[in-house]
Amino acid sequence: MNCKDFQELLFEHLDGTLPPEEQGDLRQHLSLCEECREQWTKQRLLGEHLTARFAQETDELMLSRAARARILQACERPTLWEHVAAVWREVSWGWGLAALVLCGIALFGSRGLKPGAVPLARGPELPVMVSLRLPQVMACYSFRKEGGLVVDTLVYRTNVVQESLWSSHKPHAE
Amino acid sequence: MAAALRTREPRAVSALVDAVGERLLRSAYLLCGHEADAQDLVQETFFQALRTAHRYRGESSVYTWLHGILLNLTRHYHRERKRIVACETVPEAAATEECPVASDRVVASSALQTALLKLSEPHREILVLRFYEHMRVYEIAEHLGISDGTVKSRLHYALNKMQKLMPEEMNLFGSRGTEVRTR
Repeated sequence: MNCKDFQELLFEHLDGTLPPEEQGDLRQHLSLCEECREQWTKQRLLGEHLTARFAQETDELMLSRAARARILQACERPTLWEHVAAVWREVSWGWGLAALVLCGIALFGSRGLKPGAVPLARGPELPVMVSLRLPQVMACYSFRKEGGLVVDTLVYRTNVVQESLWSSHKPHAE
Repeated sequence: MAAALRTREPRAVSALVDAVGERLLRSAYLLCGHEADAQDLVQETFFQALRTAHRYRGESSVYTWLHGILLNLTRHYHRERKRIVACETVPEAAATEECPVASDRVVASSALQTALLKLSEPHREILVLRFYEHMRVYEIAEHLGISDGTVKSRLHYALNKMQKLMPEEMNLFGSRGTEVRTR
């Protein structure tokens, strides 16, 4: 160990926190180096002197009664968090009920919609012309004479009829 | 003690204040140099501790946690006020026949405070933590969130500076002081 190493470890040595190997090296260096020994003594005495002066400077100081009283008063004042929690406890039932009602409206209100259908905003109910294509099935008899017999044939024909109707509701968008 | 802050039970908090209040006050006084301000700083430390007790994780002692709050408040105090505490005038009647040393003691205390306040905040904190709170190098490093090397270099500087600021009192060991010498 050299003097520079000793200076690096001086405070740890005074604290008594050096590992045993380094402690041994340091003691060996101190036994050989007068300057470092003197430096160690000075640091130790400086430290002891400052410790005593700090204690002397402050030994008559006491926490005032007013300060103690204010600290104890602060125990009774709720913290911001406690205040928020208290306000929440008072209003949370009302908010919960409102949330339930809104959920119910949203749930039952959505039942009238087809999947994929987008409900249009309901405006005033005006009559609207709706065009419809309706299949009509017609039975058709046909007769023919074969020799001395009359043969009738029944045929079903499907006609698609386009009709326009007046509706009182707007059609849903699909 | 941590439970006292969380539950805010007055008796428990009162016991905590009795246990650590004066030590905190003395530390605050050494850091700020003014007794009335030190009282306010300690009050504010406890107010803040009551508000933030839920944040205390038990990683350090309750006193160390409270002292950390005090340090932050003191730094804020110095930033806000930029106050220079002059030496208090020595009362002329302080020295009596029964106690002739009283005035000398008042002057010496002021000299120490004046010297301390001439140090920068980081160096003052190091001296108070080392020589009033009796913390070791690694404890100071952990408390301030700096490296061991920084603690040691600040200690060297602070002690040298104190010797220059209070030569009659601190320089009892010759002119070498605490300079680091290399070979």
